[in-house]
Amino acid sequence: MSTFDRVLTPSQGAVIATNKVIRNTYMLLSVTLIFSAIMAGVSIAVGLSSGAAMIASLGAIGLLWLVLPRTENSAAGLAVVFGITGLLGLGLGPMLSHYMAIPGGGKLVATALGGTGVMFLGLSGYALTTKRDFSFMGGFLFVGLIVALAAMVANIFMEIPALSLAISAVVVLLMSGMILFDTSRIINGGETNYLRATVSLYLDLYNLFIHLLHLLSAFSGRD
Amino acid sequence: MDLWMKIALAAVLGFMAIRLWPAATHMLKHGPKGTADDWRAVLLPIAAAVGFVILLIFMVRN
Repeated sequence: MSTFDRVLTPSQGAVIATNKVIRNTYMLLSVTLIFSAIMAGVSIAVGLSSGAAMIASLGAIGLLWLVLPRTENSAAGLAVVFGITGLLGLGLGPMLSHYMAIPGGGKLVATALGGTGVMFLGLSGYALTTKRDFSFMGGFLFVGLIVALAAMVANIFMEIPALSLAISAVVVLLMSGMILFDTSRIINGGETNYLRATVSLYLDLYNLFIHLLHLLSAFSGRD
Repeated sequence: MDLWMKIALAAVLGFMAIRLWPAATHMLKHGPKGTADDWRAVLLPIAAAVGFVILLIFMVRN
């Protein structure tokens, strides 16, 4: 191959860079999901309290908002991503223990976990194969998230089961849209940092799993 | 849930909504607008996701 043949055009360079981000994102996502599952297992094994789980989740949010933006372009960012996903995994412990304790709870958790995996692979695969740009959904999805958060805040004090169910249904829809949106951002060059891309997809999966589990539990009559 | 935990959780969720607000308004004002064809392309996978969730619900009910 001559030197001339090895020179990449700007579009080829962009495609290679995008493929690298996709590969790194999915590899890191797989590893962080395993790490998160291990931390959730540890949390269940040691019987972490709800208060400690909430502190772990708050720690993860703190890392996400305050530390990741400053470290996302360095090697330290990788440790921060593991910190975020590990703490969120720890935070899942008491909720998973609650579901596992009810009759047939193990099946519920396994179904929600498998369902989340299938939905993620299907939606992310759709975005990857069609290569469509779903960035036009951004405003709609973010406004939807804000409305869902406001409803969650209200329902913390009102404790209306039907509203809680409606919120979970809406969040499942929003997270399905977010998976399309986040995957399309990686493919179309809107997201060039694989650490940020991994955390975005991880959070989509995390929220999808929690709210799918809640929905399945409520409709199975076990909640 | 204790009252203090409810208040803390509400504060965190409220703060999340406040943090998302600028991004949401920016995307609504300056983000790309989808055509009818774009939205149809979204409806297909979302409908499939809804159908799959209904299937999972039937699975756990039986």
